[in-house]
Amino acid sequence: MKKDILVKAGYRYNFDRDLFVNRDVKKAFSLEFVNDHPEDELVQRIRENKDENGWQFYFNSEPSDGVRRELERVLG
Amino acid sequence: MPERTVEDLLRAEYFRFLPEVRKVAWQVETEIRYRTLSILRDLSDYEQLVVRVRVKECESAIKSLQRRQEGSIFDPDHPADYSLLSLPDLAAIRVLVFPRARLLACDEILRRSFPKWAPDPILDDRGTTLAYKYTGFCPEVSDMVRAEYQVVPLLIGLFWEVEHSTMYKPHPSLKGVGGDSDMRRLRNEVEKALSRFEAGFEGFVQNRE
Repeated sequence: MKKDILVKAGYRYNFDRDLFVNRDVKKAFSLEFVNDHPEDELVQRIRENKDENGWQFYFNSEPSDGVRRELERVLG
Repeated sequence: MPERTVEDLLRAEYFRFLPEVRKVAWQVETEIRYRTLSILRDLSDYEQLVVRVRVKECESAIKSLQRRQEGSIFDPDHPADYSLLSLPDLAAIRVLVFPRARLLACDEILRRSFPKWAPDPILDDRGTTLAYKYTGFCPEVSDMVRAEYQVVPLLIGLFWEVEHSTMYKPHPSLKGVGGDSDMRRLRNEVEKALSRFEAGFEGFVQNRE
């Protein structure tokens, strides 16, 4: 199951934001992204390296700068 | 002066449209009560038809709109992208009926009364219809505020009144209960048991007649 894959990889569900979040690696998957993408793609995204120091968000619709800024603020 | 947040702007919008939402709720409720009057008059002692109306509260409407955004967050740079008028249920009417034969009659009569409203049935985990839901406008009152009405088995509707604040929109201390697989299974079992009770009761009554 997709949820098990994410939990096993250290992601926790954020009920306020409907996101699967891993603060150690600074990655977050939206619930919509998880629902709409196959398991093998999730595994690939979990494994892939991040280019930058900030957060990496996996959304169906690319988050705007404002959304990204707000999410970075609330996720810490 | 600090800039107004998206939430501030939505609050202002809410109170600007609240009188209109109330008029829509009144219109739909009155229409539904009138249209179902013939069924109400004909009910046996053990049968029930209850009409309940609610206008969504301000903070609940804002939260509901927020949850519809990916990441459940508003973009502070684009406040004009958001409007509470996009919600389908600012005004909502629930028709609770027992038993099922009466529910189907209510649904039929109301569908004819609101022919342009869009159906959006509430399904159980196996895709069976638990309740009927429709959304649409009352052009006599407003072409801005959408309303919703539901026709729900009374037993399930009463259970949902408890489930609403325990699982669907729980207190912050109960976060996650709605996603808990055991609790979801228990909820589905309750709904199935209530449906079985209703079907069994109807069968019993038919056999006596």
